[in-house]
Amino acid sequence: METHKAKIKYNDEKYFLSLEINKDTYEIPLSEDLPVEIQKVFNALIIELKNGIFEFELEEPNDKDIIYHIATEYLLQLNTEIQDIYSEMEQHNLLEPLA
Amino acid sequence: MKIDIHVHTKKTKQGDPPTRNIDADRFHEIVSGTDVKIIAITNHNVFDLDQYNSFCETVGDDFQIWPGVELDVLENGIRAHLIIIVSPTNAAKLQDVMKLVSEEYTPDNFTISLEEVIENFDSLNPIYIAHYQGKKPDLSDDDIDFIISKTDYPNRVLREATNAVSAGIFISHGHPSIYGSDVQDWEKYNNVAVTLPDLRLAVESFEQFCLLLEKDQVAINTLLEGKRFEDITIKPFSDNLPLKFKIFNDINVFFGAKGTGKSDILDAIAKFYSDKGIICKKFEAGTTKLSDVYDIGCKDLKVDLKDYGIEYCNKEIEIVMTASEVDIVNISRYHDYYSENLTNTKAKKLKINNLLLSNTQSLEDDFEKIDDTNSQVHDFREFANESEEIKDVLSVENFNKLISILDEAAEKLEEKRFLKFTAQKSTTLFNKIIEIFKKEINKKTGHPIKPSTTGFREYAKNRIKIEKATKKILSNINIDIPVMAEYVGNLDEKGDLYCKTIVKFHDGTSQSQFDPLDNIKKTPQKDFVTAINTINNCIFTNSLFNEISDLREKEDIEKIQSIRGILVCRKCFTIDDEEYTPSSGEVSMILLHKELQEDKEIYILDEPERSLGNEYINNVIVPLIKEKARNGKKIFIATHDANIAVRTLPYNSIYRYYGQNRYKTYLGNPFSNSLIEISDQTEVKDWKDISMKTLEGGKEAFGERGKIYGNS
Repeated sequence: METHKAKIKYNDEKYFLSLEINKDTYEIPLSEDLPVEIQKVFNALIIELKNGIFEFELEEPNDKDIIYHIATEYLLQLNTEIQDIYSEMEQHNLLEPLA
Repeated sequence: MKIDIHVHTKKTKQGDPPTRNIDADRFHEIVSGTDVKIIAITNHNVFDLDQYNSFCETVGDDFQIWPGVELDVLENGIRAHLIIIVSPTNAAKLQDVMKLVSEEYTPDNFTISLEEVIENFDSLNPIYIAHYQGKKPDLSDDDIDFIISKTDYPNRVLREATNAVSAGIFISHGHPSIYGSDVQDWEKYNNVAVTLPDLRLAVESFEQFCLLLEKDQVAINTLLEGKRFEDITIKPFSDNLPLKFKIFNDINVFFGAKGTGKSDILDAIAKFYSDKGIICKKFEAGTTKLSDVYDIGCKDLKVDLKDYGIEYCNKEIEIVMTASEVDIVNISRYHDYYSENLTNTKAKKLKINNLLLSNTQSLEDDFEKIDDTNSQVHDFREFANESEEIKDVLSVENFNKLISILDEAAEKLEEKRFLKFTAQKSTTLFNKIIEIFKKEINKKTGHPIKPSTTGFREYAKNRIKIEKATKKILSNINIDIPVMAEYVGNLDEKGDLYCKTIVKFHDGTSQSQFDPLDNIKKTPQKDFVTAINTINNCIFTNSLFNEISDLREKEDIEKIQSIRGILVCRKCFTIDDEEYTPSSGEVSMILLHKELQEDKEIYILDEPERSLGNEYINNVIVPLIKEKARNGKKIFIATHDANIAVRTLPYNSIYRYYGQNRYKTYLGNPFSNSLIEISDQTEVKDWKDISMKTLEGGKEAFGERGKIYGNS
């Protein structure tokens, strides 16, 4: 299983959970509710899953503040759910990469 | 009357018993005492013209004597017997040929190859009768095939059996067969003659017999077993007077001037058999449209997609049409949870609050699999236990073993099923407990609930479900349904006419030449296919549900509940794959041909010659009608056409006549050359004269018929 990097980023006074898959970076907004942006990231994750199972590992920041706890919990849950979905895709023969 | 195609009138070989010798008077006396009306003299390797002539002179018209010979054939070192019978008019020629081929031999050492037989005897227009199987010494199938391939008269090659039973067996295998007495002792001929083949029809001459052989591939079958007939009484006319006559399981031709009620009689016959529950319908040229017969409008086209391995996809269409977005968990919920410190000491100790939800889907799938297998094993065990067929084919020991193995499998599957069930339910319960505890902590402490999921699982599951459904729909509508080509008929030089049926799924492009198969317009069909393709391309985009929503709003889209709803179809006539519209004459040809190609017990044809040329009638229709007759079907034809009335050699000709203010019905046939009025047996007409006067055209037809009678 591949392990991709996840980082907490701070831009324009907003926090993001940045997920790096190969050369692509997907950002989950952590400072505000932007479900459409998260859906975009989820879509990208599902497409990526067709290439194989992976997980994210959070790069530890210097400051272990509330954002860190949120990001840690979020990634923990996301990694579990990614694994579940991969198994399901595998079972239903949906792993062929999209054209 | 009986026929004996194999008698010996003299001892010619050393092995022949002297009891085969007979003089003309005794021959006449013995044969006259039997029902034998045709006898062929077939001595071994000798044809004695003087004896033949003296016998003929003595016998006179009491019965027919046909000249013949039984040859010793030597083929591949194996000796066999082959009977040659020729017309009495060729008796002298037969002697000449025999003298030529047997010049250097005695009857005892004479042999001849099959090639020499054909070379020397075929010009005599003979009937060949080969000893076959039980009739020793016999020719092989290859030898007989050789004769058939070389002779100009392949329909005159018969197999000689030992008796009626063997002949019946050969006939049932498609081999024309006959048997003769092969007389050993003339003093016992009376007893032997009783068992000889019977001819229902009076065969007047060798030529007539040959014509019958030409008529029927298995003519002997017809001749031996005879044609069945039945008396029918119908009331075809408004006066309600009954008309009673014989009907044969052969060709029954009705002829007579126009307006003599032939069509009414056919209608009454159709009703007579329909009332008995036998499907029959009068075929009348020019009353039916070819496009209706072949359902060119596809009104009655039946299509079951399963026949082509295509699934209807009802469930999948419902999934797509009713799909809706699944909410994901807001980040603010995580903020809420981590922003407030949990102060309640007991709540802090509850580790369950930090546990993640487990996936139950794979556990559910596992349980379903084992449950399904378990239930199939149970069903099979029950089936096996009750099946007499399985008990029949297995020994008691093996049967018990089978049941025992199934019991063992069922027991182990049941254990495994229970474990899977437990795993699935305990995980569900576990997830439930996490949720309940979180809610309770929230209730007791006011501390926000910790989210158990990001929402990715449900979000992805929803998309995957749509992807799966869409892919299945697309993979099924991308399967090609084979084009069906139904043979319609032959249009001579133009070639074979086919009715092509094309059924396919609407592909989103213009389908101007096609019609929807069901009552769904092409616009929603097009909308559906286009939308499904679009949806498939944007399953993992944020516009997915906009596309689904657009699809739902299309007019009449709800009518498409399975992919059958997007089928379009087209039917057309083609020749060499090119579309073709047959002319009215061609339509007549085709419809009649189609009628005759249907496998029915009764065919009723009213003036089938209408709009048809003589060539087509002779080359296509007459052979087809004759074939039906050979197969014992009842064919009723009202006709003015001599080709049909004569060339088909009907067993039954029914002549309708109107004169002196009354209608008359005469029955007869070409073989008896007579037509007898059904209510006055003394009123007899000449079949040939009446046919010549009444039937139109077909000089050749009468010429052929003339062969039967030796005139034209």
